Amino acid sequence: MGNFYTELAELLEVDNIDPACCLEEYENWDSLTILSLIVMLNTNFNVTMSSKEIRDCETAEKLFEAVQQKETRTK
Amino acid sequence: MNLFFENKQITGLLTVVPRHEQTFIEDMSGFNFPEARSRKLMEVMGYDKHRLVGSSDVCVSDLVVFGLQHLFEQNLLAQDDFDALVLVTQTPDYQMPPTSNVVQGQLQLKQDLICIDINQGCAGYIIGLMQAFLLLEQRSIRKVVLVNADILSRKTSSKDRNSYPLIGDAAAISIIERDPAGGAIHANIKMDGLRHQALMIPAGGMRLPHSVETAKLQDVGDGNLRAQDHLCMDGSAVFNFVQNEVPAMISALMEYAGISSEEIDWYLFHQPNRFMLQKLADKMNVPYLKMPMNIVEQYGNSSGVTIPMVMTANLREFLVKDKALVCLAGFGVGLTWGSMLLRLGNMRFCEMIDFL
Repeated sequence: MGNFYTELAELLEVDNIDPACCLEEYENWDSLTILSLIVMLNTNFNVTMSSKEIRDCETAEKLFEAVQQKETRTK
Repeated sequence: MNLFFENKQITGLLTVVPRHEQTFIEDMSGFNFPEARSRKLMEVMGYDKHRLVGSSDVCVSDLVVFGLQHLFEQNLLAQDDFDALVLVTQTPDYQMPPTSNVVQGQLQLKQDLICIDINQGCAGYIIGLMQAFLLLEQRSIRKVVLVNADILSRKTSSKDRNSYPLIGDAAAISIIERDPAGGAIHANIKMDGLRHQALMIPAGGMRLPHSVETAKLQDVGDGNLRAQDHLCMDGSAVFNFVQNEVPAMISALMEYAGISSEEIDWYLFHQPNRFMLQKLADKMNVPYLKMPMNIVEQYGNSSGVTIPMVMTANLREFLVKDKALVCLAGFGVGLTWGSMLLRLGNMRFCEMIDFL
């Protein structure tokens, strides 16, 4: 899970992610990034998230928590 | 649900595409997005160009009549040779009568002809084949003409980056008949109406009739504009649906047929776009070479027509000369997901023509 923020930074085309920063503030936080994020979570973490579930997370940290919760549930 | 058929064959296949070609770069001028983001979308999804009717008055029956006339003129099909016309579309000429009857009338086909319209989308080729096979159980039906046709461009907002760049208009005409050497055909079809809103045209039916209101473009978020009269697709829900349901369906089909994945020569799947097919192939451990993915970038996603498009665009010579074990799969509107395992080939014809 250590590479979650790295992967997210790559999708948002930024150098690094501030976990507490509001996701809406990233210039590239749009439907394309969200779809790419869904794919990344499906491929790398075997987690299925809807775009609504992702949009409900205000910050990268909240998103990370939501992913971890789903991960433990599938295990 | 598992289904089994035997001794049926697709003996001829023609696809019809509009001559008008539009590029993604041209589409981009309609979008409310920074150009860099649109180019990123193009690169990720694998968009390039698509075929659209380009005028507002071309209907499904126009493409179909054009295709059937071509077959009659080339002596590939005789006017009185078939006893059923099954037409699968989501964009019929009228709410009533069925478009298959309109085609029957325009071509002055015989009265001893069963005309059936089926409202199905991306799984429309699988559902159409199923219906054709069932009709062939009747002795009096010698050949079934299965038509898949959609003109989605007239139901999609050109300012909706979610849908417009990927859709295409097209028609396919398949000849289905009995063949003692046809062998076993295994199929698997599932549906989930709970998720019917993932892909829909909300207005224009009885629930929400077309009106001035439903024709108004609205900002639906992210800068996309569309009306309720337009196709509305929840792209990420569709992606999750495909990734979760399709691999499981294909393994169930293989198990049912007692065939291992290495024995399959080609996976001829519905074409949502290159990106989704790559992710699907990765998940199923299928080599990309066995799964053609090039239809959306060349012609667009024409819903139930894409499986025949894969065949006529990539395998036209092979399917006339030789035979192969193929796995077909369609998935989308309904939601519906269906797959079929059959030996395909030795067709009398397999070609693509332009609609003028």
